Formats: sequence, structure tokens, C-alpha cells
Amino acid sequence: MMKQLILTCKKATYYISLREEGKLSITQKLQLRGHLAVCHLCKLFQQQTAFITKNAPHTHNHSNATLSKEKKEKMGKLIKEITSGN
Amino acid sequence: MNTIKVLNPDQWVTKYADLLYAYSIVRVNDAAASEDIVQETFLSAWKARDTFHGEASEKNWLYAICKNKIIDYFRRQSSGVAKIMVREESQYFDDADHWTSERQPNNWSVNYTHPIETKEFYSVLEKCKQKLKDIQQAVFVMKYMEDIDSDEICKVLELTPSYYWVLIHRAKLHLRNCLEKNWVNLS
Repeated sequence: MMKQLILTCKKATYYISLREEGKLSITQKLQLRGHLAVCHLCKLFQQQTAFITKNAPHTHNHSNATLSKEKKEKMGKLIKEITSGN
Repeated sequence: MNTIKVLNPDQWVTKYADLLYAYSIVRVNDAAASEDIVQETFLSAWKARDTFHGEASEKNWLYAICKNKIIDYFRRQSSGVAKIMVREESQYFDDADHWTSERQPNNWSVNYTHPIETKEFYSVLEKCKQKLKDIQQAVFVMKYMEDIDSDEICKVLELTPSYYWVLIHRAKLHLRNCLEKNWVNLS
């Protein structure tokens, strides 16, 4: 009985993602909350993955990737063609 | 054709090509595919010019089209691929499903609730993301970089929900571990 109430770290880290979309039952939510209250490692996992996922959408603002000059010229030509097409 | 007054396709390449390219490449991790996405974005935008009424800026309108192209890319990439759960070599948990000592999280010297602006973080994140399996990358990008909910992602990529959640779980385990090993200064 007790054993079913205790969450393993593997399951707790899995539940963390489900919780983001409200996909845990009340029991599962309580299990996760209880686990995170006592498990320092899973708490770290939760904080660090939240940190990663919150910052990830901004990656392109820190990217130096650019198109080559040739490719841009080709694209410009193509757009000119279709926009003056008729 | 009064829409032409508000859209300036002759300036699209100069103003937006690099922006859209950077946006795409950090999501699909493929230079050639990203070039195609940018070009298709412009072509589709021109075809759909009558639907542009100026509620959004020209830039945001192009971004919206580009985002759809990125999702199309993931859809194509995922179609026809067998979605079988494979056991992975990397073990994060022991037989009792507790963290193994080699892969357990260590404290990072950052404020987890503050946005991070250092270029290094993002370049390591990109490299770590590239190491994920294609399908793991696709779900991670769609969920966390494009903010699409799981039900929609499952539909687009033809995944069962249980498989989807395993992919998300693994993507997070891999990324966290990879960042810790390659970015965080744990001294």
C-alpha cells in the first residue's frame, strides 16, 4: 500500500512534464509534490529543465546563422519573377 | 490588388531572409532544409497575399507562415518512420529507478528563474539538441520552442500519447545532462 504511494525518481521526472499540461490525476499530483519536497535531485531536474525550456525559444536571437549572398540573390530573383509575373 | 501597397516583397529578402533563416535553422538543424523553408515562406506569402489585411505586421505575418513551414517539415520527416519504443543505452536511473551517481543532477551556478543571455548557453544548447534523435528533437522543438500542445503534436507527428511523453522525458534527460557536462562550470 505504502509502496504504491511512493514515487520513484524515474516516474517523478516523467510526471513533471505531464503536470505542465495538467495531465496528472489528483493522486499523481500529490505524489509528485511529496516527492519533490524531499528529493533534492528531482527538484534540481525540475528547475533545470524549466530553465532550459523557458530559454530555448530565444535561441535564434543568439544565432549567427545567415544565408549566403548567392542564395539570397537567387531568392530575390525568384521573388521578382513571381511578383512581376502578371 | 491593393494589398501590394502594404506588402513589400521586393524588400523581403533584405529585411527578413536572415531572420527567418536563423529562426528555422535552430529549430530544424539543417541548413539546406532551412533555406527551403525561407524560400517557401516567401513564395507562400506571395500566393496568400490577398489574405494579408495588415492586422499583423508584415514581419509577424511572414513569421507565422515560416512557423507553419517548420511544422510541415517535421510532419514530412516523421511520416513513414516507424515509431517504436527502443530501449536506450544511456541509463539515468538504476534498477530501483533512482538517479545513478554519474548522471544525477548537480547544482548549476545560475538563477534558474532568470532568463539567460549568454551566447555560450545557446550554442551549447544547440549542439546538445543536435545530438537528440530526430523525433526527440521534433517533439522538443514543437512543444517548447513553438509552444504547441501535446495533443496537436501527436496528431501532426502520428504519435501515441504514451510514446510522446516518453520522447519528451528522454529529450529533457539528455539535454539537461548534456548541458551540465558541456556548459555549466561546476567548480
